[in-house]
Amino acid sequence: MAGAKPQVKVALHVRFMMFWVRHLQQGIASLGELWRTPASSMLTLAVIGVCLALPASFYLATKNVQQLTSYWKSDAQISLFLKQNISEAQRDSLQKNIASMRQVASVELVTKQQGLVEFQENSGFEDVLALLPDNPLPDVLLVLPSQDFNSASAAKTLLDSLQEHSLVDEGRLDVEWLQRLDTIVSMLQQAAWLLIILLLTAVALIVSNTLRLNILSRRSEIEVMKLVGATDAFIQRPFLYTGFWFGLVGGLMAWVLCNILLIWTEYALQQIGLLYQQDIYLSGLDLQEFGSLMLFATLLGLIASWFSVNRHIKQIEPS
Amino acid sequence: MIRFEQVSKIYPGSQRALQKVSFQLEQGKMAFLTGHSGAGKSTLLKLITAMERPSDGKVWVNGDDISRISHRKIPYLRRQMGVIFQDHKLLMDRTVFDNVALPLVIEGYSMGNIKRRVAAALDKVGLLDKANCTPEILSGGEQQRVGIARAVVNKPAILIADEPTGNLDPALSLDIFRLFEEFNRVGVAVLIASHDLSLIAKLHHQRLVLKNGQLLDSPHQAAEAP
Repeated sequence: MAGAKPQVKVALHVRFMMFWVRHLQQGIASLGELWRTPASSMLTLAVIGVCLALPASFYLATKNVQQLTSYWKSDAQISLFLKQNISEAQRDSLQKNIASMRQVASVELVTKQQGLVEFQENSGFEDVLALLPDNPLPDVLLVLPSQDFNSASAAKTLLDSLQEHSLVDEGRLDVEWLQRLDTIVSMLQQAAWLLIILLLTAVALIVSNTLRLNILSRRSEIEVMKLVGATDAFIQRPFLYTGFWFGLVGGLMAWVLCNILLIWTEYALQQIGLLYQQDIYLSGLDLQEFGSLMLFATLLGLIASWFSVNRHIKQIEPS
Repeated sequence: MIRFEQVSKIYPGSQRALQKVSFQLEQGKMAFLTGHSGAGKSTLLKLITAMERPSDGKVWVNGDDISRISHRKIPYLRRQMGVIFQDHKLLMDRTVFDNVALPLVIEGYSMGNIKRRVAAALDKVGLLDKANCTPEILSGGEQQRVGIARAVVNKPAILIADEPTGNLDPALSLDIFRLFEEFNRVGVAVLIASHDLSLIAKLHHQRLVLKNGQLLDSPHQAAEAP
């Protein structure tokens, strides 16, 4: 009746190694479990795949829109129409001033004479222009915003500040519609975030409910394992692996769905592009983004299953 | 090995299952727990395996006070004892081998060790040739022996059995009891709950008689086997 502890029956290093061997076994076993019950697990996986594909393809949509608009925005330039009665010296110093601003990449001067020549060449109004007593066109400064300031809103701010100048008659930003697009995109982004949160919640709920049912259907087995001295962690592990696989395979499915959607959309856009003699290519998920999708999906599956498994396995007690 | 000190158990609904029960089962001894059904036999065994906790008093197992054992420590308590159930509690969709190996797998034994020990345990109960069957196709007596093999496979110091012969005919029951005596002979403390009084009378071991939740002063029989 002495309080002597029973001797450790298994050496620590064996225990440690067997811990990982069991991990591997249980991981593979729970994948096999999914494989053996294809009907129910495929349904769950499909739901997870679709739910994850929607946020992922939304991400792709915004990424592509941003790429397209930034391509357009690189043309974004501000045209400053100068007042008629200014001297060349004033004009040149203004050009230098603007060129030295940090928001500005380059300033190009189109003099009224150049403008007139261009206009005559392109418009077919030579005869009419010849009738005019003097050149009606103003000098124009074409201001190209620097890289960091070529978003629609930054360019607009730059335009406003340039318009203040006393020598400037009027300024124009050619891409004001981009600003509107930006607003719409950011509005859609807000709405999409809500949708994404709802969808991810759905994924988490599906995973945890599926696992709850799994656990309940193996109730007697869990009781037996508890009776012969299994820790909660040991019993939980196969179920956590199931959640892990749900996340990983669901994420892969989402990736496949996303690519199908992408190819389809690209094809449709190329038909439009043909009309305008333009090649349109959409960018998909790169390796890093694919990795983050997998990581995120897997973590979501694991965390959702952990909450469910932790709760339900504690509740099952042999009686 | 097992010591009860003024243990009472009251279930919600105020039914008093055990009242101030005190007894001691020493290392290497064997004892029968008898009494009519509802006398508290199952409750007493559940207190030893920490499936229930006492309402009052103290329970000691292997020198540890388990009256207020924490949830985390329960698995380690159960690994120190082998438990045999009336309804066997086997996993019906696994082979006999897997069933018996379960306690070893849980404790992290290596594969080779598991094979050796499971074979030894199955050999002991005479079921080595049935290792790859599922328990479903075995008879009641064979299933019970699988349960016994699982209970002894990691060589516990304590063996607890709850009505191990409940569904068996007298000849088979005697076989099972002889098997328990064999384990007892190599130093395992054995506690068997049974209402098979005629059988118990044939075997000479300590007897604990429960009546309405109280332990009667039982005729203390010699614990030594001949």
